Amino acid sequence: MPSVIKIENLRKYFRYGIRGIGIQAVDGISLEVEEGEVFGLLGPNGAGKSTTIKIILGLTRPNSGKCLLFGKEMARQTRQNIGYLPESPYFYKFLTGFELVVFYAKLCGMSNDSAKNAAMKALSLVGLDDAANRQIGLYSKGMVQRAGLAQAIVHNPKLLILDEPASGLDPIGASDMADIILRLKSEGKTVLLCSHMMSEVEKLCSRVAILSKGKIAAIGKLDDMLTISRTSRIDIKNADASQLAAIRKYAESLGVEVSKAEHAKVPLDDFFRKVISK
Amino acid sequence: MKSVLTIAANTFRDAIRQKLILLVALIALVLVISSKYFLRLDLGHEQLRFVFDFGSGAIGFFGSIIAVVSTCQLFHSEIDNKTIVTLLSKPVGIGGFAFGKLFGESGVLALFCAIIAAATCAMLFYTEASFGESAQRLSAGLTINYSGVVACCFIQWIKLCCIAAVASAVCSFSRSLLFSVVISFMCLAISLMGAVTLGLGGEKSNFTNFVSTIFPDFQIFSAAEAFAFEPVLPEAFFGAAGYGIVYAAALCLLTAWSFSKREF
Repeated sequence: MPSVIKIENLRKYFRYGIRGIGIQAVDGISLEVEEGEVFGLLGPNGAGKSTTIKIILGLTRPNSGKCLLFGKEMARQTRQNIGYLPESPYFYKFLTGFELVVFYAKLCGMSNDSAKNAAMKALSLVGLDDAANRQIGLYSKGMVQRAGLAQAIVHNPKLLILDEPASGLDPIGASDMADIILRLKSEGKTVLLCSHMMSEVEKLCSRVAILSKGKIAAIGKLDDMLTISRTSRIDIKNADASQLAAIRKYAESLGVEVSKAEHAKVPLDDFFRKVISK
Repeated sequence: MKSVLTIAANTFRDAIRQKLILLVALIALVLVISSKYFLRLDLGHEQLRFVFDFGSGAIGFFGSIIAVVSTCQLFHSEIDNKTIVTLLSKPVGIGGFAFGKLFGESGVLALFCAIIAAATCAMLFYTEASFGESAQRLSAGLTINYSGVVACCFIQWIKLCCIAAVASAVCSFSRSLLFSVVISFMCLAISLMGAVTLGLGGEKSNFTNFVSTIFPDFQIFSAAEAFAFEPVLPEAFFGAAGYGIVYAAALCLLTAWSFSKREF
């Protein structure tokens, strides 16, 4: 699989105040996001996730290291292939949802007609077609979030960078958002997902990187990370207590239905806390 | 270029919804329309010139307020609300952003100038019509050149665009709206003082030359005020328009360069 994002030894520090005291926001991060995968970027507040995303988008310059998108250095035209949903997005309140998405579609070079068609399609995908002609100022937080996703996907980008897409959404909205992301993945899009919602990450991501204090604390396949070594779990249906006791003794000979057998996993939340507390 | 026009159109829509701008524009319009009433206070000036000066002054004074406050507000709302981050994640350069914002603001200023110019022309026509064959007009010896009034308002618009360009340049490095507004008004005050000094017969010095190079030289624009009652002089018109366009474009490039050094 070719890399859509390739980051090598990325470093970024910010200076502030008259004395120029520095803060190391990103400290030697290296990672690759492959085509067609949903990659999770996790970490507590201040871990360097947003800075990393801004460097990927070319909004912030790194002090050292390399960031390649589709195998090339970031250029203005590269953004044609990127859709970005910022954390807690804020949009022009005087525009309707439809006008907002058309506006961003036009910025991507689409003609007026194709921008309108693409905007309706994107709004429909995120479930905002009914509220398309309502002003953004009248949208709920969840609707603004959906409008944000619509503007991110309106120009049919290959790479989606989603910063807290489920932020402010209720559980149903968050579940809908996860379904949309899975649908986008099935269309072959690569997704870089930045989230604090572990259940969302567990459902969507194949690989994750956990950042802590600007460094990668853990990276790899989610299954590998969450697997407890030398421990297995058997899910058994239709067995009462006595059968369970028997199964424990004669698991392979009693003939009860063993529906699922896999490595036992630690909940992502626990794993996350463990990694961060190191 | 398309993205620049898209941003400009959006900026225009944003700006004309700002209540402060609407209020300032409304006050300017009401003042121009009521200039006939203010004639009672005039004890020596020619009436037509008084009405024209009122309209021209309204464009200059209230237009400057709109140019500074609106430009600063438009740039800072993008930065503070972080809509600029979403905007720049699209294939839009920082230059396109800066030019788009300024074009949008120029559109607002053009609308303001057009409304006040129309009101001024209407008041000039009304005042002239009310003279009849009275001797007052004959003693004043003035003939209104309506195309000259329009040309003068066009030059005023160019001047306001220069002020907006200065404000945008300030916004490109400023971190707060208040700072941007104050510094922009200070730049405006320096330009005005330079023009007033030279207008009162002050001699040009190295310092005034330096000031008129860095800040907009309003003395160049003030020559257009004579167009209202005299033939439009092409060299004065194109000189002022050319200077203003080049100055505003240079400031816009400076804005884009300064923004490109900034991180969002």
